[in-house]
Amino acid sequence: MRTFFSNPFAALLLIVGGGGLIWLLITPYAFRASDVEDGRVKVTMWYMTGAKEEKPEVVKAFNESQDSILIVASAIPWREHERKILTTILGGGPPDIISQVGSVAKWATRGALIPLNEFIEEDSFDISVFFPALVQEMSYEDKIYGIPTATACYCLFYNKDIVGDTPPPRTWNELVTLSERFSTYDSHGRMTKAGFIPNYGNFPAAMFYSLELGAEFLSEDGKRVKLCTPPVIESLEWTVNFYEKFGLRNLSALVASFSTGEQHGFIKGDVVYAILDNTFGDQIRMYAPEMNYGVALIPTHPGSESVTSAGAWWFAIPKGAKHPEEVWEFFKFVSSKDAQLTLFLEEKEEKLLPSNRLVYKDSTFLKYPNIRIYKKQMENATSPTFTPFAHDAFWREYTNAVEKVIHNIASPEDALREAEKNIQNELDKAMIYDEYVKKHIK
Amino acid sequence: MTNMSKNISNKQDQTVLGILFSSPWIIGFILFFTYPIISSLYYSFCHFDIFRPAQWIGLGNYKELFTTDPYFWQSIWNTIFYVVLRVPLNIIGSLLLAMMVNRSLRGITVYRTLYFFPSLVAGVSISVIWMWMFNPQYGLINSFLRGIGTEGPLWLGSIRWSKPSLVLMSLWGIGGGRMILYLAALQGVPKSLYEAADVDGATGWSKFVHITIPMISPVLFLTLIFEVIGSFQVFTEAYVMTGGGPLNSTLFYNLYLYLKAFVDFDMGYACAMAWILCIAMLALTILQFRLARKWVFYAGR
Repeated sequence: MRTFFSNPFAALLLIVGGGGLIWLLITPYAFRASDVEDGRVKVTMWYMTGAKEEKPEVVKAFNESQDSILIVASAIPWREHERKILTTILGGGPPDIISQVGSVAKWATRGALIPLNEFIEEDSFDISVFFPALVQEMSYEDKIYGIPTATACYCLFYNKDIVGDTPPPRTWNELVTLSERFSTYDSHGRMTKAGFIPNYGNFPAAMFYSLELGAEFLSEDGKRVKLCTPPVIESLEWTVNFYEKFGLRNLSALVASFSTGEQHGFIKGDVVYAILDNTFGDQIRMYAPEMNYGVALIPTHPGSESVTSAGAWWFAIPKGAKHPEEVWEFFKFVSSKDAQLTLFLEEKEEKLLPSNRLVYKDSTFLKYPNIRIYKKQMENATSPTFTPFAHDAFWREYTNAVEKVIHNIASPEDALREAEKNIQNELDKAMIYDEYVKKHIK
Repeated sequence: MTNMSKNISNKQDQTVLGILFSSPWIIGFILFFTYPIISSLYYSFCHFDIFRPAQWIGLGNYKELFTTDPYFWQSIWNTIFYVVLRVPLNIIGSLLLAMMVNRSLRGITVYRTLYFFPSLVAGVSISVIWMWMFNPQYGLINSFLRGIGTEGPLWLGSIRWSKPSLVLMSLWGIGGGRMILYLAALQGVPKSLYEAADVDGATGWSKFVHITIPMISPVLFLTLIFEVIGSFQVFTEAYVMTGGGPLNSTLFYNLYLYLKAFVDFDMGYACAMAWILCIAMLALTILQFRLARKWVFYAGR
């Protein structure tokens, strides 16, 4: 071996290799970015962007409003957002604030977020300043995991250029009648304009129909999924009848030719009544500015209230964040009435609705089109998270069941029963695992 | 005595030196390849959602996949349907194109380049372009069909046509690298063989089957293996264009795996799916090698 070390190459390799290894081990500690800048605590934030990369004004406003905390915000394209958050929470060193849209359950059930209850209690923060649906969306097992900063409310949009003075339908049956009146066909009998397409959009109309009948999807103890119930069956029967009445081929062909932006079915003028979220007001302004449209509450049943679904855009503190207290100060700021109003006003393209109910009393805010309807609809909104543990499975199976029923592949009862079985399977798996983890950690 | 010990230590030195020099690759291989693969094998026997500790459940995932999973068999069927349709069409297509451009006409290189271009656009961009081509109302394909008097189907919006649509889309790349490979192979076939066949009065088809195919069979075999393995991993088109629909008609195996891993966070389950695919691909490739002895002809054996 003596001859080995007298070899210059071997010696060099060892020195370089060894040195490199040591350097790799030391750098994370030696060059860690400082947490303090100008005497302010630096708080890192990741926010979602679409095509543009503008930082939310509210961050700048917060930084300027006080001088002990500095928020440094980074843009993450929305397509990679979830994966990046996943990696960073698992890999360590997550940002202090993450922004997300959709169910908090996905993260909260896995212990990826820090609950905010401690801060809420300490500051006597009134969580009911947010709409009930949003509070529900942020909750899991009686703890709050995020602050909702915006929401989108689904309502009935209708094309006034086509319906004229006809008042919007207030019940589902009225909707069918009016659809018959306003659908148009060409010389070959193909549908060119649809009155309404129940399965076109982010939520099947059947969901609202069943919620208004009082459908509940999870048992009280959270262990059983309830999908094959009379309200839901009836909602699917209504849907199937609708498709049979107007022709599955007609409606599918139309839907298949729609896209986004100017090519959206309602914006093109090919669908007369549609259940859309409030940002469509802005989309219409951008893509079809001459259209006269109206907004009304979602149709309901005689004697029932109109119910919508409302998800939330939210901020949360990932597990492993270094400055939760500072983040809480920001959360209080961003959920205040003034900040919420600013967020709404500064958005140039698609305006989301503020989550803070106090904003809905502001006179400037109320001047925007259709706000009163959105406000009324939001009071009766539910969170779209029915099963925190198997949330994605629920919606996948539900939409699958609706599609099967529409295509006459299964009866409403059979389709729902199978969907219920599949979701229950996922739920059971998740609960077994959850129990194991809780035992293992304790 | 001293001479012998010097020789031995030299050899030892050389081995150690060799290992040291390849150590960066070895470390990388272990860290980024071996370790993840062994981990995924371990996780395939667990309940694991990546955030929390893994729970050992033995063959639970595999049992569920093969018996109670509502989409496992459908995703396999979807994938096999796609592979069986796509592989022959693509290989034959590339071969035909290669034969067509295997001529010394003037400007033939222009054709070869033009045929090659489409294969360069890949991934998400090609998916978006084809989504528009397939649009039932405004797309190029249905507009063309309307022009010649027939009504096209809903393509991606139809349960029956969604998979064939994706296969059609894959033909976009038949002029790509595969065609170039075939072209090179075709040009390697000695002309003397064809001349001898002409003397015997062989037809074009006969020459193709008895001369061309055997002579290029090694390359055909190679591309067949890659094409099969690649087709089984179909993902991007379904993810971008259809999301697995309509009604799970384009829920391919890989897409289902992705959904299970990154939407449901059921990582253990997804690992099990990945291993099943791996073993299936291994078995299929071994089968292909066995069959190859019957039809692949290596000149010089």
